[in-house]
Amino acid sequence: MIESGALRKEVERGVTYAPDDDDDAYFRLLHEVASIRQCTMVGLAMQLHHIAGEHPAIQDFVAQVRDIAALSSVARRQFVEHPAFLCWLRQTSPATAKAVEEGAIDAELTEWLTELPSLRARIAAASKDVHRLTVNESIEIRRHDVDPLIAAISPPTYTFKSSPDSRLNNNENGYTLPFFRNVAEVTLGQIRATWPEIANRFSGVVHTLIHVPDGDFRSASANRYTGVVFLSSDDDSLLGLEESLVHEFSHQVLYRVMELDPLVLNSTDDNFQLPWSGSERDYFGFFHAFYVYIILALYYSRVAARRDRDRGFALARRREIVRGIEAAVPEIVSAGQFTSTGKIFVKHICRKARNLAVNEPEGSGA
Amino acid sequence: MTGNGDTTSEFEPDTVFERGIGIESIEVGDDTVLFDILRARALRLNASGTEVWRILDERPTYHQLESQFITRNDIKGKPATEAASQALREYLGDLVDHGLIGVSHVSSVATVERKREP
Repeated sequence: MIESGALRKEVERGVTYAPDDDDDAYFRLLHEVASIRQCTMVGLAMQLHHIAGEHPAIQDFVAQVRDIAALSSVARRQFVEHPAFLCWLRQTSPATAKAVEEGAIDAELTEWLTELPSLRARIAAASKDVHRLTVNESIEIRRHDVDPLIAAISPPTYTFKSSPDSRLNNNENGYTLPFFRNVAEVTLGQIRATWPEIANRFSGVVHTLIHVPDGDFRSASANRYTGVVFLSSDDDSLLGLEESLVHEFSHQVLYRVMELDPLVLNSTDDNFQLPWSGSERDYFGFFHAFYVYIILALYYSRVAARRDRDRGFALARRREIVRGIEAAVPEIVSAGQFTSTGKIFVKHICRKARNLAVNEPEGSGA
Repeated sequence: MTGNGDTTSEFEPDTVFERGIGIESIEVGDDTVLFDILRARALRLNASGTEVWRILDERPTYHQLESQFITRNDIKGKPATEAASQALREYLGDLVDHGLIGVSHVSSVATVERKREP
């Protein structure tokens, strides 16, 4: 509903939002995403006021939205960048579109509108919780006590247990959440030493790390709960966890880009086998994996150049990833249906991909 | 503020601009959300667009609008001023094309006002 033209200009000048692109473009991306989200919320309020301004739920909703619009820019941005807010916005937008089309406010929409003050209260309470675990100063570390809007939308990635007592759950899985927090802190420190831009940008796109040792994945994220990263206990080394965090960070950056422009228009159910894992994904997933593995290959180049102890593994892993990237390029280009901005974007990421193959680090054995 | 680059609108210095009828607006942060009641659609103006929208509240002539825009943005030097004026014209052309603002001329407004005289 609310469109952004800002991304196009950035992409036209070669920006891909990879960590080796300039910081300013990345922070402009975050600013634009936050602006679009808050303007979309305001647009919903204006639309609903127009069709049913006398409805008590609409009046309360409009008052809430005006209140949010009047918050300080920092407070408002913290709110609209919370993953639960995006879950709420993504449910309320289609419900509003339906109301506009039918000219009537149904029970489902009323429920979503009245959820807004509850959501604000939960987010405010969470930010004031002195027992809250965080890493990198602001990234929340959670296990089972996640916002109900996130918990509701997380399956099939992960289904939260119904037990409300997160402290019990924290202790039934081998090691505690505070211990995981320490591990995450050390790992992000390793990432900072390897590629500072990733560490500096991490908290801009990752709001919450949810550590679920019983997850049937190594790590996971999805655009329906943008800002949240799930991690299990499947990483068997700090470098393994580094890879998981860089992998999910890259997904999160691309989710933000695609909030402004879908880039990819493929809508068929065609499946593509990922050359890196053998898993099958639709084109959207294939495109995401392509972007993520380019950044991972760049990351492993840096690991190899900076850490003697990890050099052998990093070079081998890089080689493996780059082989997959080389295999993926032709299919990414031929099977993709792109928006006009997406066409330019894919050209730039394919150039990065080809450069990886050309610029093999010394000692890679390629 | 961005124009689509296709519009090459030329406005006379005495062209008067005003916000369109049935356009509601709410500012949020640097941006303004417009709701076009007739077309039932919402649109977003970025920071520069918001500044133009604020000036439009005063029903300025093109000359006044351009002058205020350049002053408020502290634009100096002939090349920068010309570039800003061109961007402003394109942007205003976009707003006109989208039905978000109305234009008239001082002379015609004056004619209407004269008719009210006894």
